[in-house]
Amino acid sequence: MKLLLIEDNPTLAHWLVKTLEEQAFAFDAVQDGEAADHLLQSNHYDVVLLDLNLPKLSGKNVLRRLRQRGDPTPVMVLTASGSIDEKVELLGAGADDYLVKPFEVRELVARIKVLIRRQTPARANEIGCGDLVFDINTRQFALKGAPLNVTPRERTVLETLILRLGQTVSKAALVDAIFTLADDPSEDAIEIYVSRLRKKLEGSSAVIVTLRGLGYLLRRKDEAL
Amino acid sequence: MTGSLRIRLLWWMLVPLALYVSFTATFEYRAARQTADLVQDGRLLSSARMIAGSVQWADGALRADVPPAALELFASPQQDQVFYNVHVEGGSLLAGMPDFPHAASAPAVDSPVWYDAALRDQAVRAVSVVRSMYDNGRISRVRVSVGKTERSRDAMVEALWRPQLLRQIGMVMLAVALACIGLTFELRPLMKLKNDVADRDPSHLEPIRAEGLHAELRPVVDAINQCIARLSAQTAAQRRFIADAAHQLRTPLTLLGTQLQYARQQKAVDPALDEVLAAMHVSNRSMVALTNQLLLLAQAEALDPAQLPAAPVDVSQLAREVVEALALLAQTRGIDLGAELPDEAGQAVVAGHRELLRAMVSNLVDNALRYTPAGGHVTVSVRASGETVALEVLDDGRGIPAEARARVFEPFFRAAAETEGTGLGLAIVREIAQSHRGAVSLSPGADGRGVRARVVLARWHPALAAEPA
Repeated sequence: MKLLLIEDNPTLAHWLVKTLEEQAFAFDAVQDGEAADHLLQSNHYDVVLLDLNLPKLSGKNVLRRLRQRGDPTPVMVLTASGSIDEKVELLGAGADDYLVKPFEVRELVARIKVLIRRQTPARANEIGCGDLVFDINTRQFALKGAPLNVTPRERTVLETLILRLGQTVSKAALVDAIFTLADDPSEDAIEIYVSRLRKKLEGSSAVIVTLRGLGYLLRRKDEAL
Repeated sequence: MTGSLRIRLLWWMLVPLALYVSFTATFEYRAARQTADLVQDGRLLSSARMIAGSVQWADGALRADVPPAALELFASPQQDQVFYNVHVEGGSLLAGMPDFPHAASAPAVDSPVWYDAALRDQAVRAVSVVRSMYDNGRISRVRVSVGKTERSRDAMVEALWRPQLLRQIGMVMLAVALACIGLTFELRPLMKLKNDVADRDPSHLEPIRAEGLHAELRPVVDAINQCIARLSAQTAAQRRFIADAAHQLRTPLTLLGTQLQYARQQKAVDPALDEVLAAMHVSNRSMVALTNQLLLLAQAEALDPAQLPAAPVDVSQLAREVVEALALLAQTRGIDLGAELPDEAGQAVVAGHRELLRAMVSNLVDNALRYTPAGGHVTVSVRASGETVALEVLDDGRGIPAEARARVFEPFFRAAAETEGTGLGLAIVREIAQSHRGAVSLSPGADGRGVRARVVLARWHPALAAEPA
């Protein structure tokens, strides 16, 4: 995995490279837009981390030139501006992701991994939530690399939740997903399945949260909290 | 009282008017008196001449038969007393009062003398005429004096003068009344201007509009507007400074966070060092949170309600997103987080800035989660009714002490010292609500426990948006 970091603050660039190299990423780092533009024309990178405020050639123009050449390299913009308009403009100009400073390095790493995975077709059928991974083709769950043993109904519940990752799923929707007309639908049963699933996910970084009045949602545990 | 322009203007009008009235009244009085004096003197002379005409020789002596008509001349409702004296100069009294006062100078024949005198403690106006009587080569000068008290003259003066005076006083009062009405009417733009200036929101300084104001007020308004322009430039510069300062902190904070992350990745030999690094990482995160909140506050303050983006925002969708985003925090803190949202989407829609409104809801819920102990409940509800959309965040925590309630919207005020937080949450909520022309209120929860935070916003009407702006 080779990444290009375009960041004009040399100290920040130095420490970002140092920290990210620990995560087994290889880095090239440049400090101005023109140099970045040259490097991007001659080298291939898996992900580009692009600061916007650059000398010589602005980050926006680096991005624009890259896309004009038809280069699909994923670009993650690192910016000090939290303005929504800028975010919309950059995503429109072909940025793949957008991270506002100050950011957590772990968040950056997680997002880089997502960008890399998106490029790998073999793994495009997987949905991950922390260390819980769901293979859409085989409908199998894996926790920390090992297959997770669930009953068919538990699987349906967890599948419904992971397909709407981070969003609430109402109890009624879960009832609809599990029970056929022949069954006797019961919302209490949903609670039982959820509590069983919670037990099975203990120690995992994926967690099922209850929101009163809304339903359930599956989330990655954020260690920052 | 001297402070009131209206009263001062009235004084400036009243004083010249009063002077004018007193001058004219004096002159009127003099004229009336002159007229009355002329009439009185004329009557006195007629009476004296009639009496003088009645003096005749009889049997070698002079006799005066005073005709009643000579005295009836003075009949009046005032019932003046009339006195007369007819005597031969240097000789005997022919008729009348012996002690009748005489004029200082002796009258000549055909030239009467009028004079003022006192008789029996009464002021008397009198006239003396002289008639020469011939008999047997003898000339006798008969002096006839007639006097009367002045009651009827005074009554005449009054009758001539008083109606004039009353008329003038009436005119002055009418002028004052009209001036009062006129001043109230004409000073209305000034009062409006006063209210305009007094009601100005310190965070949104707009120039005062000069149309509909008097030409004299325009320079005042211009001066105020210049002052407002300088103030808003100053406020804008301050806001920009806060935003810039927060902005400038971003890169060093990112750097510090990255360095701390790197340090923590190294397998530290010393567990104490590990603990310090973890604590530093937490501090770094609080600084990041504070910086972000400051920027958000600056952004909300800079938002002009007049230039609000008119995009529809579904508040119940926002509430759902916020609750989903904070679900984990609630679970970590052992708080039951729930929501009561309208069944259908598109019910509770307002116009505004989606990200700021989201930040507002997020700050309210975050605040409730921070101030509610484990085992508590936090409920977000959204209701649309008629023209408004109401968002409520209800918790059953310790609530806000009454004495703190007024201050919780101040930046950096914190109701509880032991709770972590930037102290900017509610200030941000209020700024965002106000910039969306909404209102925030805090009250105790259902059974007096906890806090019910309520934001009321105007409901979005697609018909309004369709109109050309």
